[in-house]
Amino acid sequence: MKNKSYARKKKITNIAITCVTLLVMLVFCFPIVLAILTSLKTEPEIAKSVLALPSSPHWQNYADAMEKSGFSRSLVNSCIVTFPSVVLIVLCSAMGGYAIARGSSDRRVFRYLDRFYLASLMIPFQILMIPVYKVFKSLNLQNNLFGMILMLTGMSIAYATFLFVGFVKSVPRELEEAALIDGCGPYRTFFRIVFPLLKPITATVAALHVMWLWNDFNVALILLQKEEVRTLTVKQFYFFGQYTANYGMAFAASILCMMPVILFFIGAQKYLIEGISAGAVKS
Amino acid sequence: MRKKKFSSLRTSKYVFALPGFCFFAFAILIPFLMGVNIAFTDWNGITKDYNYVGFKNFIDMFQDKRILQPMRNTLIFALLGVTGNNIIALSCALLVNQKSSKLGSVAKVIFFMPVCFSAILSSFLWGFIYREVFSQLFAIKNLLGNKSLVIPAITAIGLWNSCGINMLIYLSGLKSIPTDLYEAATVDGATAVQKFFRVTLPLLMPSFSVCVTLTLTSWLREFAMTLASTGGGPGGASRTISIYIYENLYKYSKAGYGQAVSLLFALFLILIGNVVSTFFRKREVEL
Amino acid sequence: MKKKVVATLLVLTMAAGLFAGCGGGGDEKQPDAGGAGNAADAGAGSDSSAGSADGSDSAGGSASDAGSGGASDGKVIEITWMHHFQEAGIQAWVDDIITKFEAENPNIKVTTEVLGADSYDQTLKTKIASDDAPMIFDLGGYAYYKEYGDAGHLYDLTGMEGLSNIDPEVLPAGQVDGKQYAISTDQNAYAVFYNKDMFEEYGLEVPKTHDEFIKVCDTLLENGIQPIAAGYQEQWCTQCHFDIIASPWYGDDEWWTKKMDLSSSFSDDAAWKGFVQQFYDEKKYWGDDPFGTNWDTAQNMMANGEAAMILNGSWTIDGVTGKNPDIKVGVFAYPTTNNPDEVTMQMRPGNGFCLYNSQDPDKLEAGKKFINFMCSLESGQSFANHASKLSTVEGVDLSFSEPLSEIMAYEKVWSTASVKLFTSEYQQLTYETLTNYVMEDTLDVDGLAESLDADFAAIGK
Repeated sequence: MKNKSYARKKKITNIAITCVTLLVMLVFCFPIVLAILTSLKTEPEIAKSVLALPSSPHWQNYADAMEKSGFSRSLVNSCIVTFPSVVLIVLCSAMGGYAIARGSSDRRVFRYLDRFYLASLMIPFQILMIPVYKVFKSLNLQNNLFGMILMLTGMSIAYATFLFVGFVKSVPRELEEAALIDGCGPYRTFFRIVFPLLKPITATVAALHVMWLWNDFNVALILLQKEEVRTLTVKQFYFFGQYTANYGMAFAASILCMMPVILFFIGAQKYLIEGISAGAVKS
Repeated sequence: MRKKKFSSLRTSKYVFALPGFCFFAFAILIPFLMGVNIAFTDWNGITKDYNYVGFKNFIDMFQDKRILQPMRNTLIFALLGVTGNNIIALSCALLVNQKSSKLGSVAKVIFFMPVCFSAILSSFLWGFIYREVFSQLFAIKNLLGNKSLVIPAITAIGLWNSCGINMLIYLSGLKSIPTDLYEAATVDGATAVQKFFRVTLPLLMPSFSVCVTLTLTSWLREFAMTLASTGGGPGGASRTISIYIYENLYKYSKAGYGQAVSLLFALFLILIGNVVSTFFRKREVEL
Repeated sequence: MKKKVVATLLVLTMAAGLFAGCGGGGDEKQPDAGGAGNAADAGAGSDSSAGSADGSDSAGGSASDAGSGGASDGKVIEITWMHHFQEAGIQAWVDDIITKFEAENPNIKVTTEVLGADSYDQTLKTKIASDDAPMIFDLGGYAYYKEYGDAGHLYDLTGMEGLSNIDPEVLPAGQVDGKQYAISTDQNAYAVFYNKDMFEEYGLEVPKTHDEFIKVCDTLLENGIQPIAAGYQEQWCTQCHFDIIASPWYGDDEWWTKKMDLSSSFSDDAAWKGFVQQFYDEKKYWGDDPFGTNWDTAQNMMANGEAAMILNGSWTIDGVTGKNPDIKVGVFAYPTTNNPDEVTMQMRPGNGFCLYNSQDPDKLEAGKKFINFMCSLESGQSFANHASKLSTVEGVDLSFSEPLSEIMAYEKVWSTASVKLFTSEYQQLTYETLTNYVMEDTLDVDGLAESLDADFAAIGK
C-alpha cells in the first residue's frame, strides 16, 4: 500500500517535471522557431502575419543570403579563427587553473594571479581598444587572422582559467599525490592523471568558447577591417544594416551564421556527457 | 632527492601558469597599462598630443550629475540579471539533471541553443519579437519604447541569451557531486528538499562562486545588447555606465574623462568581484 | 617523458611567440621599404608644388603627371576610403565612381572599408590614433571638422579644382577658420514626405499654413489613417522632426552657439518653448507607440499605407520607394507658422568628405585626385541617379525624380551650411531630455528648459 502510493507520488512528480521542462523548453525555443519560420517566408507573408506558417518553404531567402553575404569565405575565416584559439585556450587555462588551484595554498604569487585574472575580467573592453589597435599596428598584425587568434586567446584566458580553478579545487588531491609518490613527474602527472579528470570542465570551457569566439564582435570589428578576412559574425552585422528591411533574408543569414555552432554543439554534446560521466569522481 | 623533487614540483607550477599569462599579458595587461595614463589627461581622442591634468577628470566625475542615471540603471540591470540568471540557470540544470526525465539531453541542447546567438543577433531577434510579435499576440506596445519597462525587457533578452552558460556550469557542478553522498542521505531518511539544501547546495559552492561573480560583473558591464537594442534610450532610460563611458570616449571627444570613469569603474568592479568571490569561496567545501 | 612534454610545450609557446614576432616583422619590412621608396621618389615633386602654394592647380597637375609617369615603373599607389553607407543606392555610386576613377588613373587603387554607422566614429578614431587612418573618409559637421582639423589630421582642400564644381552656398559647411576641411557632395532636405495617392484619395492639398497642416492630420485621423509615421525609438528621428519644426525659425544662425556658450538660456527662449509645445501638441498624430517604433518600421508604415506622412530627411524618398516601388512620394516644407509666405524648405549639407593629412605625398596626391573626381559632374550625376538624393555638384540633372524636383522648386530655403550646430554631446543631451519630457502625459516646458540649462552649464564647466 505504502509502496504503491510512493510509486504514484513519484510518477506524478515525474510528470510534473516533464511538463515544466517542456514548458521551459518552449519558452527557450520560441524565438528560434520564430526565426526559422520567418526565414522561410516571403516578404508579403511576413507582413501579413508574423506567426502564421509559410505556405511553402521559401528557400530562396537562404540562397540570396548565402550569395549576398559571401558566406563560404567568411565561414572559413571564422573556423580558422575559432578552433585554434579554443585549443590554445583550453590547454593554457587548464594548466594555469591547475597551477593556481594547487599552488595558491602555499604560494602567494598564485593567489595574486588568481585575483589578477578575476580583476581583469572587470575591465570594460572599450578602454582597451585604442591601445590594442596600436599594438597590432606596430606588429603589423591587423587584418591578420593569426593576430586575431592571439588576441582572442589572450582575452579569454582569464575567464577560462577562473573556471578551471574552481573545478580543480573539487578534484581530490589523493590521486596526483599518489602518482607523485610513485615517481611520476609533475608534468606527466598533470597530463596523465589530472587533465583527464578535468574532462567535464574542459568540455564546458571548450563549448563556451567555441560559441563566444564564433560570435565575437568587439575584437573582430577593430582588428579585421578588410573584406577578405572578415568573420561570419561581422559580415552578418553589415548584412543586417543593409537588409534590415528584408526580415526573411536577414533571418536566413543569421541562421546560416549560427548553424555551424549549433551543429558543433550537438556533435560535441556526446563528448560532453561522456566527459562528465568519465570525470565523475568517486572518492 | 626528495628536496629536488619538491622544488621541481614548485617550478612546474610556474611553468604551467606561464603560457596562459603570456597570452593574457599580450592581449589585456599591456594594452591596459598603455591606456592608464590617458585618464590623467585632457585628450579628446584624436589630437596627437595632450596635457596632463592630474586628478581633474576624477574630481569632475563626482560633480557629474548625468552619471547618476547610468549608475542607477547599471545597478538595476545587475540586480535583475544576477538573480534571474542564477535562478533560471540552476533550475534548468536541475531539470536537465533529473535522471527520471528522458527529455534531459534534448532539454540541455534546447536550453543552450540561445547561447549560440551573438548579443547583436539576439537584440535584433528580440527587437522583432517585442515590436511585431507581442503586438500581434497580446496587443501590447513595444516594451523597448517604455521608460519603466525597458530595463526588464533588455534583461529578458540577456537572460535568454546567457542562461545556458551558467546552466552548463551548474550542471557540471551537479555531475561532480558523488552519488554516494545522496545514497547516504537517503539512508539517513532525508527528504528531497533536505538533500537539496544539505548536500547539493553546499557542494555546488564552487559553481556558485563562479556563476554569481561572473554574472554580476558581466551585467554590471552590460553594453552590447543594450546598445544594439535601444542605444541607451528611450530618453536615456537604459543607458548603462559602459555606454556612458563609450559615449565619452568616442562620441563626446572626452577620451580622458571616459578613461577616468572606466578606470574608477573597473576598480569598483574589482572590489565587488573580490568581495563576492571571497564570500562564496570561503563557503566552498574541498572534498 | 616528462621532459618531452615540457619541451613540446616550450617549443609550442616559443613557436607561437616567434610566429608573432617574425610574421609581424617580416610583413612590416616590406611595405616599409616600399613606403620609404615612395616617399623619397615623390618627395621632390611635392616640394616643388609646395613652393607654388597658390597655384596648386597647376602644381597638382604636374605632380600627378609625375605620379602617372611613375606608373610605368609598375608602382601602384593604394588609398583607402572608409565609409558607412549601407544603402544599396549609395554603394552602387561608390562602386561606380571607383571603377571610373581607376580606369582613368591606372596607377591608383582605391580600396573601401565599409563599417556600420554605429562603429564608424569609433573605428575612425581608433585608426587615426594608431596612425593607420584611411585617406578618404567623411565626418558629420562643423564640430567634427574643427576637432579633427585642429588635431592636424585634415588636409586643407582650399583651392582644389573640384571645389569650383560645388554649389558655392554649400562650401561654407566644410570650412573651419577659413580652411576648407571638408566637402559635402550631397545635401538633404528636411521636410514632410507624403503619400500622394493617399492625399488625393481624401481630397487633401499640400498645406501652406500650420492650421491647414493640422486640418490635414485631423482628416487623416478621422479616416482611420495614422497621419505621421514616427520612428522615435531612434532618437535621431525625433531630432529630425523637431528640427523641421524649429530650426529655421529661431531667426538666428548663432542660436546653437549661444546656447552652448551659455550666453542664451532655454528658460528665456519663448520661441523655443513655443516650438516644443507645438511638437508636443502634434503627438496625437504619431500613432499609439511612437517610441516603440524604429525608423525601419516607420518607413514600412508609410510604404504599406498605414501612415500618410514622415517628417525626416530626403533619404526617406529612397527608403520608402525601396519598400514599395509603386508608392508616389511627394514633398512639402513643414509650415511652422500661419503665414503662407513664410514656408521655408530646410536644407542640410550631408557629411563632408575629408582628405587625411598624410605624410606620404604620393597618397596625398592620389587622395586629392580622388576628391576632385568626387566633385565632378560625372560623379554627382551618378550619385543622384543611384541614390536618388540631392547632389551639391552644380549642373546635376534631377528631372528623373519628381520628389527631388519638388524640393528644388522651393525658392525660400534655409540652409545649415553656415550654421554651427550642436556638438554631439549637446545634441545627444538636448534631444534625449526633450524625448523624456515629450513622453510624459503632460508637458512641463519650463521643467525641460531648466533641466537643459542646468546640464548645459554643467558641460560648459
